[in-house]
Amino acid sequence: MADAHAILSFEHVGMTYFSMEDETNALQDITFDVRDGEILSVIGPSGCGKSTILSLAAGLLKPNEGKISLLGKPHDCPTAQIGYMLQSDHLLPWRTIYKNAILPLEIRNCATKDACARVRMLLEKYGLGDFQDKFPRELSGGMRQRAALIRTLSADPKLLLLDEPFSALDAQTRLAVSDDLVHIMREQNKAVILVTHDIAEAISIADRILLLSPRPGKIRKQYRIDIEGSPLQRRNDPRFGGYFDDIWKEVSRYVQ
Amino acid sequence: MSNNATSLCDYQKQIRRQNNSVKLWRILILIGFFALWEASARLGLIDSFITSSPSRAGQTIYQLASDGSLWHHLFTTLWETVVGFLLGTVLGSVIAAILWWFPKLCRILEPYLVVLNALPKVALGPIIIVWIGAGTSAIITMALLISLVVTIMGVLEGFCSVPETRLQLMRVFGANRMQIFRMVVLPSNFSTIISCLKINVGMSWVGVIMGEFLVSKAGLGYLIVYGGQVFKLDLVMGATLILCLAAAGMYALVALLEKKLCPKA
Repeated sequence: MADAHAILSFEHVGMTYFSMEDETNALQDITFDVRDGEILSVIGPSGCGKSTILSLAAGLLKPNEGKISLLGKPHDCPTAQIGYMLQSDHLLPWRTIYKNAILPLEIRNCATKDACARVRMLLEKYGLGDFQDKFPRELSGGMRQRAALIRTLSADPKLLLLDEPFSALDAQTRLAVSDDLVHIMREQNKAVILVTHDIAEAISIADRILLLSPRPGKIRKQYRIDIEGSPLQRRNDPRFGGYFDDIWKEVSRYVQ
Repeated sequence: MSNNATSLCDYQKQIRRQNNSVKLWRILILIGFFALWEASARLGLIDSFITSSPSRAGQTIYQLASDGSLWHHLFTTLWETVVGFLLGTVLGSVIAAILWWFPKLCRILEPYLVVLNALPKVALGPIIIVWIGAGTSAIITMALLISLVVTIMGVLEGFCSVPETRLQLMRVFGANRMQIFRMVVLPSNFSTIISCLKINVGMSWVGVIMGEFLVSKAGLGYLIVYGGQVFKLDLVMGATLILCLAAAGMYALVALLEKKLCPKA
């Protein structure tokens, strides 16, 4: 099942949460993989286990059933191969942007001269050069999110996990920031799993979309998006509406 | 506040005038209080044997200062207070860190902390004296006990209130518990600890004065309790006034420190 180009693969993964009162079957029989340089988006109604997929992929949780492998090896704890980004940038307010960006390197004790120079280069390249020594509160929301992405890239991970990274931004900023971040991710040629509840956002960004059913989350359908270009260009493509209608028809069956 | 200014300059003038009037009233109340006290004593409206008077209290302070014993008493109390609140803050923060580190220990000890917090620590006075001996260390222990439990609870709450998502992010970066503590939990609670310092200054004064009432041979609390016993109200009032100044001064210093260390707070 798992092919050689897969960065991360899930095979028949199931996940159940337990509490004193009952158990919650969050995910059932999830099988998919992400390839190098591919952006995969996971969408579905709220509570369908989207974030659980990311926590599993990050190695923060262990599945009750099935197997997860990273680069062909069993995957069960956080590694430098994986970068993670959340709704809120979580930049530490007492560190400068540069110091925030090298945090993952510091944690893994690999803040070597080369690695730090690479981070500085990324900051320069993506327009944060003049802000390296500023504190997060001095930056706009979009710039902070860009800094958070560079922090995620600092340890040079193979796979990026993004949990609704744009949903804390207002509508206009959101379009600009997603354009901006997707450009960076494409240029760095990373495999990405993007969790979102926004269908249009998924179509404008992803190469492939997994649609989950309500709890217990199963893969309802997969879509391959064959539009080229940046998120904004994709939104203007005549095929965009077709994808949207397809997915919406499927989603609207559970939204009453 | 009324605001019917028509220009920025006007507005600033109004605010400044209001601020000045507040300051003026504060000073007037202070002067008025002492003037009324002094006048009533001189006119025989109150019995100055019982109430003393500002001039007699001032004279007592002057005498104490000129024979040097005022400084001895003042510094004894100051020393005990500073040691008490620093120890309380440091030890309290360390214990809070240990409890954060071992969540199970924290759960087990929770009811004991609640009881210790509710217990009036002064009640432990006799036990402390018997165990530690009647002296400076007993007084400091009293001050420490009063600030310790409050610090543990305050700082622990701060440690536990770091958002779970932020900790999760650190775990994905591969951070171990020590790194999470050092890089995120401790720095985000820097201001919590400083504000505990501010609370503990007050707590420590209570502990020190209580302790001095019980056992001391020197200190402002000693002067107050001694003055009361021999009915020298001049001494009681004089020492109380000095205590007011010293406590306010120390609070101001810690507030200044807070401003310096956490300018954004």
